[in-house]
Amino acid sequence: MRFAYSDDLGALKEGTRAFLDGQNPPERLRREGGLELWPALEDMGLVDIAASLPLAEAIALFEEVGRTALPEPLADTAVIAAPLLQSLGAAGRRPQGARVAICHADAPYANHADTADFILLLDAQRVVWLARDAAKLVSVRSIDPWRRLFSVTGQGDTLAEGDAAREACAYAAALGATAAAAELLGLADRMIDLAVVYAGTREQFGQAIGSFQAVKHLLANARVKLEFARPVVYRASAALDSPVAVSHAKIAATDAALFAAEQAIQVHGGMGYTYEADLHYFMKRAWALAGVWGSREQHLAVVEQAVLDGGIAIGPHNSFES
Amino acid sequence: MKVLVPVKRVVDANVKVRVKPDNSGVDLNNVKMAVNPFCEIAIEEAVRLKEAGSASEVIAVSVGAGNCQEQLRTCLALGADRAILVETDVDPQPLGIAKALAALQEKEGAELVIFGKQSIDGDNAQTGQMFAALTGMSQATFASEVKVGDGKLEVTREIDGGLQTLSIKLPAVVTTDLRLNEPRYASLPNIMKAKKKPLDVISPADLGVDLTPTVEVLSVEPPAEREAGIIVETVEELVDKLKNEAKVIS
Repeated sequence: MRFAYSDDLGALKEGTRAFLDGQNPPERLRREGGLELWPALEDMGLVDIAASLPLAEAIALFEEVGRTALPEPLADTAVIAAPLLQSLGAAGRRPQGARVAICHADAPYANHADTADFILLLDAQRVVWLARDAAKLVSVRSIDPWRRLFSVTGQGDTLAEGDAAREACAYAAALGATAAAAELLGLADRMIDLAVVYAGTREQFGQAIGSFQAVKHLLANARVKLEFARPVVYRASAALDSPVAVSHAKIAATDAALFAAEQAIQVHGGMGYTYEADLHYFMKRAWALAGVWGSREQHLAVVEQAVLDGGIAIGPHNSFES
Repeated sequence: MKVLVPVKRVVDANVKVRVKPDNSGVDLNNVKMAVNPFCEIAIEEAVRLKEAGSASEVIAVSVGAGNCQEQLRTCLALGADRAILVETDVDPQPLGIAKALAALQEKEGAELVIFGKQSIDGDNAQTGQMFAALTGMSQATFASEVKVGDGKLEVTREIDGGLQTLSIKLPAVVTTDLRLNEPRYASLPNIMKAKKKPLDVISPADLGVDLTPTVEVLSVEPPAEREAGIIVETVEELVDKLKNEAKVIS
């Protein structure tokens, strides 16, 4: 398997980064407003491109989404709802430009459901398509100020039941966990970058704190963890039908992001904990994403079960197998 | 009306540059490169002219090494119709670039050439003016507004203390100031389409020009480090320091 972007995908990733760096800087996150960037995301073609690319390619864009902690819930519409509706033969339900919020056992509170056009309710028994106006929403507070969560109830159109609903539910879980993992990679990358910049400018004992070995080690360890998580997430994006690959990816990306957050806080010292530092927006998004689309414990149980069942070849002599 | 837009590959504006240890120039190793911001404004203006029906074709052109193709692709994604790279291993200087562009303009028959007013690396602000002198085309520099009329342009320039409006005949050269427009972001579909747009690579010899530098850079020095400030306790202390240490008042 080749874990490298094609030139075309590299250009799309670069274009996405340029746009998001320009339009979603930390100054925007500080304003804590609405999802006013959604029309621009549509104009940029980001929603359509992310929905049309295979997930193995789309995750390159979601690393960039995570890198700027984009508040607009792009993954819900482009990565989960679009392929899910396609697989259920209901792609026509979503008009061009419509935004979809997702409510699922692994992500029970629909993000920005209050301004979505439609809500997709998934459980093992039924998949329901609900217009926002027909939904009853109850607000739930998230640790991330940019995630507006709602519990959702309401009567809508049933898109699938029984086995079909179970399959759709599992598919959505794999899509959601992998997209979240990709965003977590981007968040880890950004938090390390912020810490590196701070370590290069903050002086102590007459020199930049980044020149001290103890500080270098913190950041080097965070970078190593991130680089080891990256191929695991890429693999999952190309193997969505493997629950072990998806769970492994969510665990690795979550661990990398939370570790990067912890090291970045340490490097920033007391500043990192304050509202004045930008770091906390990225850290809170990482905490929030760590808890949705399956907790670490839930995914660890999947991997453990696969090991105990003999489904994974473990040990050093199997390092480069499968 | 064909519009030619020269663009330069420069260090990204967000990168903090470092001078090479031997003071021979700026260290470009592993540094992010981008389209010169003023050239980006020039491309945007040309594309807007085309969208308004005033221009028929927008051609982005660069003079430099092979990797300038990356920036030309960016210009194609922003809306240029085709691109030309005059490829050279020589680090070109304003006069050489102006000569190459003059030869290219004659070949292409462009009626309007829109330059960025300067590049953010050399800060020379010379190429557009040299090009106008070489071609004899009318010029309007530091433009903050461009209106196309019948065979002429009305250009508003930012000058000290106000604005100056000029009327110039086509063919013409315009150099763009910062407030002429706000460049768009390349949309993802346009980035994909840009891959298929034509990008021709030619050599200076094809244009019959010699790019050998005529100016030698003797030394590049970083700006002096700013000294830390001090907090004074009283106005009297401040006046004393200004008078006796800084010697800026008597």
